[in-house]
Amino acid sequence: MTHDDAAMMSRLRRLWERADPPPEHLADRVLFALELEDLDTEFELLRLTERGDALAGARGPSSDVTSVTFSGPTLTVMLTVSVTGDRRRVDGWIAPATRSRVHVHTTDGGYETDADTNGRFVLQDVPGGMLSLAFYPLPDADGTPTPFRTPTVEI
Amino acid sequence: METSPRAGRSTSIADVDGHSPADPLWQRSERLFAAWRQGDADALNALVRILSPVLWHIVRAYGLDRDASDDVVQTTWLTLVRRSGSIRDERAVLRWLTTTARREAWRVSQRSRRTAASDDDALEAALPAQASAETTALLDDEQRLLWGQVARLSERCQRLLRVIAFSDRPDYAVLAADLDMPVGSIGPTRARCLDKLRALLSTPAGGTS
Repeated sequence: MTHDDAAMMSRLRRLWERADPPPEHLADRVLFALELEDLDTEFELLRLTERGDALAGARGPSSDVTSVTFSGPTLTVMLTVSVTGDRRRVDGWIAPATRSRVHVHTTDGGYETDADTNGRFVLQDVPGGMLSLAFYPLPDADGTPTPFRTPTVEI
Repeated sequence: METSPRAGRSTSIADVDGHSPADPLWQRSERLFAAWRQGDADALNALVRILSPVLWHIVRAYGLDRDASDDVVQTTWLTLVRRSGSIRDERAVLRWLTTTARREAWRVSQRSRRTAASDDDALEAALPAQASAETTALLDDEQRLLWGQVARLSERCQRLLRVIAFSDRPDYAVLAADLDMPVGSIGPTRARCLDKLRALLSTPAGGTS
């Protein structure tokens, strides 16, 4: 690379660092996702494919409702997040319906709950901030799909 | 430490955060990765903090929106933790990460173009990342001018320059496959993209890209 080219590459690097910086808590979300990592399990990694206002404009800031959708090759997980102050209620739906053990990882720590035969689950009261979920399907008549997990999202 | 055959570079392109060329990013990455593999959990923490911004810029070069880019960076690290045993040469960890991030970004960008081609989101995802008005307000005059002219380069030029700017000696074979161009043309294409940019900068008001 010529000196001129190297100098221009440095300028461009500084430009992008300034104009399109990474989100503030990117590394925190990575480390949070790694905390839930279970090396004994081969997960299907879902991707965040959509997030938006479930009821755009219909509610005031005191009770916002937003939605987050994760998708993988065989499954979709939709979350409807209701905001009350710094607490959240999350209504989840796995499609196709998959009865599962759900490992919930929040900034308060972790706990487990269940998704029912309709693929529905509820996180009654979790803190706002980072959330990641891992799903361990329960044995069923038609076989057991592989476990799957979400990346860390901010709710 | 023995001198690596890859250490003798005259520029500090790889040193994204302006660290001394005497201790380039790939060497710090190697040390932290080796320490983590020997059981030092904090070393992974440090590695994530140092390299996530680098991975971010590489992923964004593929035109993914910010949420999808965040996702790809997370996936890249999860993959590293899972596959760390398969990385034989610790010196190669930075290259392994940037290559994994590019492959994942490429896969996701292709899928979003395919599955939602008529969607506004997909259209947005297919375009190079644009800065918002608030973003350009962060730039000084010289950078604002540069930003405007970079936006007039072809999508391929923008991607190539951004990936190379943030990669530590990118794997040209993989890059070539991603960008659908012969390996031997990466270097000359980069030079042509920079020439084009310099030409735009010298006549900022006229011409078309």
